Amino acid sequence: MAEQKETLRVDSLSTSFHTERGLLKAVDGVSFTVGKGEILGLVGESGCGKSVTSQSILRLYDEKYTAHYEGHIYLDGVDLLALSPAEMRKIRGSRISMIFQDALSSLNPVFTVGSQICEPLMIHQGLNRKQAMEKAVELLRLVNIPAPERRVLQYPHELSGGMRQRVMIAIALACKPELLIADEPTTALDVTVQAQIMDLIRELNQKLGMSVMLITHDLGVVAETCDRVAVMYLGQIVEQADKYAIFDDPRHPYTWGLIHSIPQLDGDRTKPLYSVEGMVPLLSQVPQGCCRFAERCPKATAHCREAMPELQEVTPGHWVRCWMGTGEE
Amino acid sequence: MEATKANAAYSAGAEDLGLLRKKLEKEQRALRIHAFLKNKASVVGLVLVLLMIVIALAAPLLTGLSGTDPYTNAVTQRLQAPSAEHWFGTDDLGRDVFARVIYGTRISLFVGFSVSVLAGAAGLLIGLYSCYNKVLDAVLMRICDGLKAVPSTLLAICLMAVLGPSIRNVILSLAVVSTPSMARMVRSAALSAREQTYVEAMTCLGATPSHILWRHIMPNTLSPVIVQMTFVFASAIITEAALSFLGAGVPVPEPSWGSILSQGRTYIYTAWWLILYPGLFTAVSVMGFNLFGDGVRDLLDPLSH
Repeated sequence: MAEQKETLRVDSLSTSFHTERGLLKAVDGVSFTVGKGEILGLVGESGCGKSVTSQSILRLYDEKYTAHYEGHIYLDGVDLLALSPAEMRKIRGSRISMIFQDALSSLNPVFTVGSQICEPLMIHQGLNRKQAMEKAVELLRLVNIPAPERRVLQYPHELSGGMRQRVMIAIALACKPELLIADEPTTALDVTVQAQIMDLIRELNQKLGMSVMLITHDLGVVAETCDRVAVMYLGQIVEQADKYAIFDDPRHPYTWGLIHSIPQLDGDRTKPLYSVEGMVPLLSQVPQGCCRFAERCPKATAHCREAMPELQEVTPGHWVRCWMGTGEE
Repeated sequence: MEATKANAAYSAGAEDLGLLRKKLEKEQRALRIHAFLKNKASVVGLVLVLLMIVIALAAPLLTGLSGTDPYTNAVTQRLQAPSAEHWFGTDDLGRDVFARVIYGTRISLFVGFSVSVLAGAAGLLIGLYSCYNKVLDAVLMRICDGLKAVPSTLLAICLMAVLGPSIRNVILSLAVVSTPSMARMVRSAALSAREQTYVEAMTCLGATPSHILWRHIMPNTLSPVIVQMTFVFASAIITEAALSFLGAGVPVPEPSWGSILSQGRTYIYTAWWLILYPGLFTAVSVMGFNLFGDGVRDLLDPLSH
């Protein structure tokens, strides 16, 4: 896995926001890679910086007033953070695409879905409207929408939730990107449709050799779809490993907690379900100078409250940010 | 249009569904028209608006029927009461009030139309660009605040005093007066559209800011603009009349409702017809446009149902 060519390398990325309470770091020194044709899962609770990480990769935040980036994001060796806004626009939608959680609000209600699929084609490939429209029909067929020549004429509100998410995927795929960032693509959908969409993403990943970065808080989705998993907590990656290693041998207590708070079919029904105690602290109250998870950690020791652990490789390809990660469990 | 061709090219089976779609659209349109017609007030507004437009367009025809024109003085026939010859009577210079009021409709509608189009366009431009750039926003909005701080009629009088009386200047100054509220409204609609995920999604696709602004945000601000334009139309008519009444509007001898009223003021106890007809036309047309605007708003804004 590590031998694979990398599509994306994120190197100690930090994203801070200018707020009333000063500069707040939402993402703090995150590093990871997405290999060619690989599906990387980025998991964590709400507010842990998953979405900020993904949106930072596309530099979606207003750099003049809102956000401040540090570090490097390499796409095929080119540092995205060093590009001009115009160069960045050429990357967005053509080499990196993104799909969002809520497909209804991601589609403009005043245009037909066909004309919205045409947009990236007209922007990046210079197609005219007619060519783009023909391509749009093909794309809708690619994402398994029945009767695509009819759908292109319909408005977003006329389609079902799953259909809309397929349209979003079609828009994202229009220019055959190297990397697809899927920000909780199935959260707004019911379970059956969710499975279909995930199948579709995996199928396209294999068919087109496209790398995928899947952001989710659903570990079930991760187990089914991803090759590798990075777990985030409070803007840092706390554990990163192969999918099997994460589920079979979680080293970080946070990962362990997340996995054990999923109800198991064969679990003991008399005991209450495990939960990670406490809440994700506000960004302005991030504990400093200690392990960020120490306060909620069931295994925390005095040492955990005194020094911040670094990410260390415990077995090849398995990185953990915990003082106890190297020991048993 | 192109899509229809692509549709036909791709499958034959879809054609009847295309027909179905057209039928559905027709049905929806019928439903909307029905909803509009069910609202008695907006129907009255529509009828009044159409009536005014017909009067304005057919002015030469109508005065041909009465055999009069708005400019000819006839001192021997001054201040005559309404009769078969002079339907609305004559004024202090012996001019036919009917012809003047009818031609006044032309001026009023022309002013109202030009002002609403100008203010709509300027408001759209200012509102959209102020949602696009923070510095521009601060500057433009403070200018709008400044303009809004002065009562609009007063501001219009000031502008007229500076520009000098002519129809073009009336239109210009009324457009300046009506633009700030239009711009504010466009800005708020654009700001809420800008925060929608589809705008972010467009950024993700690599669209340029101006592409997003004009193709994706602008269409979402159009319906409030159209509604506001009908109200600007009405208020332009009444403000023009007020300006002309004060002698700061359409210069004499052009037959503006306001100046007819103003001249008739002196004879209010002896020649009621000089006041009644232009006043009635002003009131009725303004009411018509306001009722019509309410109807359009209900039609375009699904939340108001």
